[in-house]
Amino acid sequence: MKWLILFFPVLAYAADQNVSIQIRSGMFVPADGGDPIPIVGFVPIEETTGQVSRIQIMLTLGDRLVLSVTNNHTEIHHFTWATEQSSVSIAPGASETIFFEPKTTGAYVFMDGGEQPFQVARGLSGAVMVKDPGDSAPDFIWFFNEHDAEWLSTINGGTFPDPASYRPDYFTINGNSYPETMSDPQAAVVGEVNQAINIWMVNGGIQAHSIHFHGYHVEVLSKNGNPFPQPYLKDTLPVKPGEGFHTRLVPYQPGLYPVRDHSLTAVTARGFYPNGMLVVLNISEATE
Amino acid sequence: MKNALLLLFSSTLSFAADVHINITVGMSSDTLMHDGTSLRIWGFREDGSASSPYWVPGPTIRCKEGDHLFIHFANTSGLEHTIHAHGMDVPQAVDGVPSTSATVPPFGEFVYDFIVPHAGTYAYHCHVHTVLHLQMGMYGSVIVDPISGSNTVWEAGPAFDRERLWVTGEYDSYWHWLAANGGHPTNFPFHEYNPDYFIVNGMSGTDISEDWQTVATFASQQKMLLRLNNIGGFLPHRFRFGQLQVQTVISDGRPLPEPMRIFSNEITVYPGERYGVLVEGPVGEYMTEIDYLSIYDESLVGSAEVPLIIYLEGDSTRDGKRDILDLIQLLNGIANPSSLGHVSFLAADLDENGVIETEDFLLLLPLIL
Repeated sequence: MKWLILFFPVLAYAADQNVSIQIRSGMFVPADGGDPIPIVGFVPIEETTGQVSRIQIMLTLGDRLVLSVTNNHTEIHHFTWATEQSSVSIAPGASETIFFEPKTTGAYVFMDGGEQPFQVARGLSGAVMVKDPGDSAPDFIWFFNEHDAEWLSTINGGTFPDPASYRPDYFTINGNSYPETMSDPQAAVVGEVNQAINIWMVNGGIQAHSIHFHGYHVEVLSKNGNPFPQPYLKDTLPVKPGEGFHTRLVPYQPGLYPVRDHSLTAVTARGFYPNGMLVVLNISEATE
Repeated sequence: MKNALLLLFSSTLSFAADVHINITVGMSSDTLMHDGTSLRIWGFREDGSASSPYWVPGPTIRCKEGDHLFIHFANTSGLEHTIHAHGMDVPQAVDGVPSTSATVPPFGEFVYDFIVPHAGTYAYHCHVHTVLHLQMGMYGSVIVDPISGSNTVWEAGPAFDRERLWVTGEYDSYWHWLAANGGHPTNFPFHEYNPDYFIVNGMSGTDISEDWQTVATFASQQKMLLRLNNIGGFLPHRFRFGQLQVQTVISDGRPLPEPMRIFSNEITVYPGERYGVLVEGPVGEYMTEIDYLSIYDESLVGSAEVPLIIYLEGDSTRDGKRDILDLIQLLNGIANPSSLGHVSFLAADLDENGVIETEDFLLLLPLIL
């Protein structure tokens, strides 16, 4: 009997979730037909070109993330959690293993903490979304980022620009600008009236984004894994650099409703509007 | 019987009503900034209040929870426009978004009608080429009162005695010059936003502190509700209250949970957000400093100031006089209960405290009406 009691906690102990990623350079191709822009990002280990902010890991609370990070770039990089000071340095060609056992649900942001804010501005950020095992609501992830073509070219050429000169011209959700966001199943929310949806909002860039919902208020549950004293309702939620929000939407009416950054340069691509940080929710009538 | 009558009376008071407002568009007006610079603006105006020289912000729409609001929109311009009721969670057909709702063609008309949701402060703005139309000034506010019409932030929520609405934004004069000289540009340098005028209720600089609908004047025993509405569309606005600790109680038309109703002497409002803050304090003349922050790194881009004047309750110099906004509210209650629009007063009619004698006001009434 004693053995049985001891045995249960072992069963409840969590599985390891093994994920392998790499740091790799690549090109960001602007949706407006502008010239490709050099970026450096965290991408899945099997990819052969770099992409913008493609690492979004879903983890169940209680599980442990075992994250292998390989540096396939020519420079040293520093893996850092957004809310922590310490970092793990990864030399070119080397791999490091990061263990992550979160105590609370929520969105956790990681990045290259070196030469701030330039490494993050290049595209070196990612997120882990930690979900309660009892939470069966579907998940949508919005990983916000912005790209200053001039900055990226300058950094790629080996120098750092004046920090005050940041004027991003392209804005993305999960690496896509509107209307491409609409064909990203992770971003383009499809739901039903009265059916709860998790929306994870992460700012992987270096400027603030003020995310405005048409049609609904969302319930804000936690920031960077810290739950709010009580959930609260917003139609406009500022998401600052390095912040990750867990929000819940229970749609109370059907319809097509845009969500956008209300700092409106972010819904353009240089002169083009609408573009950038914009996606449309598609909510159908309740089926029962 | 007496009780029954009373009940009947109070339930009549809280009946939802149909509220109508007629809104038109102007695109050929210039606004004079505090330094004498003239800027082209585009804006909304309430039809029938043509004596008002103001276009930005558009008329404040006022209604109660549960009211059926009808915005009769006449696009009196040669460009497409819409009205999006920002934060009001309206049905898709009347959401005012070109791609998902409808666009109102030049010289066309449209009625936006919907049931008004929760008490609080909301915005409305044109949603056609939003990045430019909002910058040009096509925005205003909607204030939703509790269903009982009580002076509480929401039904059975915290009470207040006075209120002020601060609609904040900025102007990049180069964009306004482009719009005035190139019509409707389709390829604007939208990533180069360099605002040089920092706006509260359509005004900049010293004009703000001379506007008695904006300056927060109240008695030491009273609670002032400040409705902060950053609908400028670009920059975060940080309000600093110095020695006064203000309490944030509501945001985006929803009460904040009790543990989040914190006291602080500053609050930052991001583009599209609205906050309700309660202010009370000892007699004194205070200044609210508004920092307009870079969206890129939160460095200071510009500033504005709004005086906050707390006078002694029962001050004999104020006996028999009323704050100008109260009078305007009273007037609007008579003329049009749905609207709290700008009303022009001659400076000579005000004393140095911005206070107008009731008798003078009654003389002015026919002029305003």
